[in-house]
Amino acid sequence: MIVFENVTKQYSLKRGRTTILDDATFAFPRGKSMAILGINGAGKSTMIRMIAGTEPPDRGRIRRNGLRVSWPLGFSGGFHGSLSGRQNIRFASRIYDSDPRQVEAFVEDFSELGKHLDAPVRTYSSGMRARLAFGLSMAIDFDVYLVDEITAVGDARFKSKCQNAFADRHDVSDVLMVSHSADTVKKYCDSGCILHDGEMQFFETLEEAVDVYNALLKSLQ
Amino acid sequence: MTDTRIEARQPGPFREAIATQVRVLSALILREARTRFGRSRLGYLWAIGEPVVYVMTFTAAFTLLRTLPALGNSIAEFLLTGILPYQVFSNIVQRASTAIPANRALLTFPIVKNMDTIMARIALEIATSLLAFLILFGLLGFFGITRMPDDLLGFLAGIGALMLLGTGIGVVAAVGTVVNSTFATVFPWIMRFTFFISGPFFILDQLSNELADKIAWNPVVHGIEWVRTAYFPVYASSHLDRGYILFIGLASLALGLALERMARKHLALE
Repeated sequence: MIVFENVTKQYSLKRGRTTILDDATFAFPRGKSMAILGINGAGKSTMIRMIAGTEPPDRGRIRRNGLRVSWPLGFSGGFHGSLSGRQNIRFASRIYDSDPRQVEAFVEDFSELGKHLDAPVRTYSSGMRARLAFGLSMAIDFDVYLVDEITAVGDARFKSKCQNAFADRHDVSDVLMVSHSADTVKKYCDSGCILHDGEMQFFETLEEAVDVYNALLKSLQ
Repeated sequence: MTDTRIEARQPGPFREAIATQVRVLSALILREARTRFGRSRLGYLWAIGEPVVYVMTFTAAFTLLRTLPALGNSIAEFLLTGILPYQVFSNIVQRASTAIPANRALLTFPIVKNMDTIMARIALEIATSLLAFLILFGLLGFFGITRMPDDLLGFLAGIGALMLLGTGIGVVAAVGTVVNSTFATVFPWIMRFTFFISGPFFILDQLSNELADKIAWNPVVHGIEWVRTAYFPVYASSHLDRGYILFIGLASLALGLALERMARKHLALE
């Protein structure tokens, strides 16, 4: 499991500081796909970057216990514009110790990019980039997939393809998804937690989490 | 907290970390080589062509001025033993100093760290400049402009010291350029200026003692003196301090690593 030990994290805006976590200790258990709900500004994206390891906490420790954690999916940075999709795939499979040919074959099939795979990534539309990014992350075996609000990933058909891909992996991989919308997470997660006021509150079922979150939203209006 | 599944993969954390590091660095070096030299072979040609252009220009200028070389038989030979080692140093620094902004997109992959992109660039630059250096030196040797250094080991050690110094200052420059805009503006000018006080055009022993003592604060000059004492058997530099360049090299590397650690949060937010 991924463990947060006494983690404090703040970020400063022009007006004052916002506390995302205040000396918080908790764990994301293995075997559960979890929604991390939070209102805008609660620090959801920072949260997912901390889990990924691209952003360090101010204080405390985050342990991943040897789990292979994906990069935050949903925004598709990470590609070198002047290299082709295929060359970018090879780079990612090298750093993640996966067989480049297998990964290539998978992405070729999944992303439906066809001959564009050999064109420089800078010529891709944002939808094509997203398909490449998503296919690539699905091709590499991660124990935990981090998802930052799937919204931009293609049309309805591609969305259901993504959902199926996650469902296929349900027995081996977990999903941690941050969202401010209770509807999106229902398709991917089976339990949930709420990030609010520097604290993480965990719930056994997703329904419970969503109920409390909706009540929270109402009280803030 | 109930764990319903056995935790996947629990290799020795240290061995796994080393293996990951090696994978990431080699993938970065490959990718760096591909983006730099992949589109055309001109990149390789320029690695050799650039120092040749420098040496030819300055040889022409010094010949016109009828200056005699401080050491050796020809101006070209004297300049080559200064400009080539200087280029090894400055190319490493220059490539390293832009490593972070050039690879920002890669940080999306959590296992790629800023320091990896800096080190990959430095490693590729060391390999490239060493290769260009050897090819060029061999080629000029064939035409009788250069010859085998008198003390080959000392010659290579001098270049190695300049590589170490380039690595150290390169890491400082890479981090400094990102965290401080004044540094980013001033640093290239300092580098340009050091070219003239690093010794491609002079040896310390031909200067007045007073001036030589001042210029000897510049660590780069010791690298070039080191190379020249090894190449020209007649030259025993009275100012050369090998320990000084090695110390500054290691100290700047330590400083660069410390700066990166301190600036890490800032770098992540950029």
